[in-house]
Amino acid sequence: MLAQLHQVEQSINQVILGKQQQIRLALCCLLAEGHLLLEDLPGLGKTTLAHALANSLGLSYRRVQFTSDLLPADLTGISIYDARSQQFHFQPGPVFSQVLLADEINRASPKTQSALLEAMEERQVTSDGETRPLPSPFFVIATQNPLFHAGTSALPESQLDRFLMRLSLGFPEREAEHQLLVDDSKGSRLQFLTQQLDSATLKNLQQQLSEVKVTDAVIDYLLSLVDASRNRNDMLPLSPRASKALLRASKAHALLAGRDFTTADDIQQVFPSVAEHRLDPRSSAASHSLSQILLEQTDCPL
Amino acid sequence: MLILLSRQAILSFYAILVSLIVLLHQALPLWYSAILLLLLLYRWPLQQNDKVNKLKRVNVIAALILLLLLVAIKQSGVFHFMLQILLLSAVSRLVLIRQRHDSHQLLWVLYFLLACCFIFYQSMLVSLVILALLMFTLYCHYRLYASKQYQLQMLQLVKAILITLPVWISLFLLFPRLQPLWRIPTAEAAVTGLADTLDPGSIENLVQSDKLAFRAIFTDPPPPRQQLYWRAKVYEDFDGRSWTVNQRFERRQSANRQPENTNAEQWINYQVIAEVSNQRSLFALGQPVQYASVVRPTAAYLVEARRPVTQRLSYQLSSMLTPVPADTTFEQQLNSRTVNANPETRELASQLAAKSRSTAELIELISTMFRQQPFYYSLNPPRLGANSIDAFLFDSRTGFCSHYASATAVLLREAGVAARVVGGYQGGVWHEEQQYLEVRQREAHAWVEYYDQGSWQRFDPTAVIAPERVLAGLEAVLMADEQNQLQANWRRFSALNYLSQQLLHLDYYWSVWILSFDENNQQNLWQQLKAARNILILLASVLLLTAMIWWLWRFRRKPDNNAAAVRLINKYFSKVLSKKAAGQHFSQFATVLKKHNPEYNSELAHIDQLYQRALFAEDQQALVQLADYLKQHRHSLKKLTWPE
Repeated sequence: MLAQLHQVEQSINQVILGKQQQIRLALCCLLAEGHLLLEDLPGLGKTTLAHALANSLGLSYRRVQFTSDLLPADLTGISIYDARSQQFHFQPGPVFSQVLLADEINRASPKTQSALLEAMEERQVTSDGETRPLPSPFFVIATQNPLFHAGTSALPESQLDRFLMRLSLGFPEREAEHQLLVDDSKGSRLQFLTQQLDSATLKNLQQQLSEVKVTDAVIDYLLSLVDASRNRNDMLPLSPRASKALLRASKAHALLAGRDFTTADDIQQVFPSVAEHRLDPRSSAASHSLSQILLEQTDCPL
Repeated sequence: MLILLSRQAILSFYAILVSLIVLLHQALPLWYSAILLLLLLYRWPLQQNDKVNKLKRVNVIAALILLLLLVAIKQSGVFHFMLQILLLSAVSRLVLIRQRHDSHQLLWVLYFLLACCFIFYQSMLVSLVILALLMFTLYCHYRLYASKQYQLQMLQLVKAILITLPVWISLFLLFPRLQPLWRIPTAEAAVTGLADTLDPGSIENLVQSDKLAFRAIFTDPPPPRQQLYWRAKVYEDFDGRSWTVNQRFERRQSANRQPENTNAEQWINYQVIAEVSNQRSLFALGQPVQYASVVRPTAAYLVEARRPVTQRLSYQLSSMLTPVPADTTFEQQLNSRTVNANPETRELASQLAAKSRSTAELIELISTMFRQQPFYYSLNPPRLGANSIDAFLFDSRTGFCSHYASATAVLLREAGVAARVVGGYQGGVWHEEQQYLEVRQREAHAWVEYYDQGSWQRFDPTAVIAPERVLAGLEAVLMADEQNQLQANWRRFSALNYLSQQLLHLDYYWSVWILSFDENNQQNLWQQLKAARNILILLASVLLLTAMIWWLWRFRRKPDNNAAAVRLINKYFSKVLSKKAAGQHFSQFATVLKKHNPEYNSELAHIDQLYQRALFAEDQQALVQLADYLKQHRHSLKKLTWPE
């Protein structure tokens, strides 16, 4: 099962060249059943990565291009009057899929962004006074452009907090880009995606995740990191939701590394991606300055 | 929870039980030991995996054995019967045992049986063996229940024993010796030492034994050797050949028999530690005037124990070295009887009696006869017939102390003087350094007491014929080949001899300090404690104060909440760990260390791997391995460097 996951990881590595670490973190995020936010300049491969992830997990997925005139109902669905039966029928929107690819999420109006809020946290949608559950599993993989770009409105802190991780791909290495250009004539890179998980395997993996061991010592270390953020003025404090997210992501990281126990290293590896956007919502995803400060200054006795 | 016993544990139980069967063999008939061993073989632990014995079958077998034991209860007695049942239950439990849960009762029965062994053995060496078995049982018990992490650590066990040692000692010192509980049941065993019958030849056999008879400790310097006549038995009945103790009259005497001369300055105070003899008679010098409560006086100023001596017995006595006064007139009659045998002796006696005017003169005449005529002292006298005295006095003229004593007593009786043969021990080996007198069976002796001027005078004909026997001991008198006869082969090697002597001294301290610790000593101890109350209170408060200070100091120090693996790393890497960046975890640090110390790459990698498993996966085995590995490589770990 874990071998299958590693094969998936490798095939995604064929699609996005030279970004092993980010791809591993992205897989961690999905394994931990968390939503993923990809932030980058346009053209760095966020959408490709989102597609590759959604594809390789073997889940049904819908893509929505967010624009400034996108309305909440465009996401959640609307009730349409059926003249023949003289009744309203609910027409489910793209949110009713296992993976929602929200492209350029910060181009939408805050109203539409907040419509996603309920869906992401509660895994359900309320429309016309009726609450409908979303399919399970349900992931949102969102991409966004950096905030300084024209026509963007920042995601509120509350919504950022709902993303387990924020990742940035950054520019590729020279050799990777060379390879990219060589392969370009062959068509879409998504064709390199050969491996897919089936939903049963994914479920099993998530089951395994709950059995990954976390000792008190590791939790103590995690808490001292979180505590450190709460005693400072130069950053937002990390919420208990953040510490839960941190723990889940660390466990997923341990599982991906083929271990059944979590180490301090797992925490340190996932910490920047999990914490940075919560510590400073206005930061760019490429910088990890605040989380690095916390990691360096918090004593790790382990 | 079902936890199967390891084969090792079952084998240990086997070892303990088999040693118990050997140790308790005195309580077990031979057939029973054989049955127990067969029952143990019934499930030999080496084929553990085959199916377990049926409970029903074992129950039936045990019931049958129990029936046999019940039939034999008359022979063995209740106490042995109880031991037999306990052993039976332990063996049948072991035969069926499979889980850890089952071993619970077995262990307690084993403890109890081990304690029972002390009933049969009091010597130091066997006690050490029993103690070792006890420790082994404790260790097995500990291993059954200790967590995996501590299974290899013998050190923990030693620590635990050290912690409980004060409890052991205080229990020994302070536990009340409740009489009915403390009494050890009498086991039937062969009688050793002087018998109730004195044949010509019985003492010769006795002196060839190297066994200890008793030890004596004197409060003052010991009396000279020629005064050390330890009286044990008085023989009144003579049948023409051998002497026996008269059994027909009540020998017990009231303890408040007051001596006439109560000048305590002439008393000799001493303590006797008697070895196991399985008879009642004990040893005393001269006329005992004060008795410890464990002994009581009997006729002819002898002392005896209240029960046959089945374990070492220590008692205190005070004696006067004066002739023993007459007890009753009946005693004189008893000792004046003659038998119709030894006609030549009777003839000689009447001649001697005619020549002498007083008893003292008669004694002098007998002495002169022994001294001037060719009489010989020998360990190997010729065998004598029915008229043994005649044969000895007129024919062989070669004899051992019993021959001379018996001949003298008969001569005196025939001459009309009341006389008796006294059996006991003469002399002993004085150990100056350890300050005690060691009396072996070697010192067994017989002499004569005759009635004169209201008391029983001692006359030792051996002192006439072979005065060195009395002054220097038996070995001084004998020829070389006879000396060899006395010594066991191994005793000729001086090193072994020395060793055995040291062992005997150790055994002496063992019996003085451990075995003879009774209620009186306990009361003395309490009294001494009471007297030293102030100092003790001071000591206790000082101890309490230091404990409190220590506790406070510990409390103030930051408690080390770190996991065991982290503590290990902190301990062994203390030198370089100060260079670790605050946010670094050990694995990162180890990577950097490897870069600086490439020669220890593999060690550091191994340590890191074990450490991660031990700390993050809480793998106890990895923790033990880590501890071992760190310990093994502690010297190379000290060489790790960090660039300044």
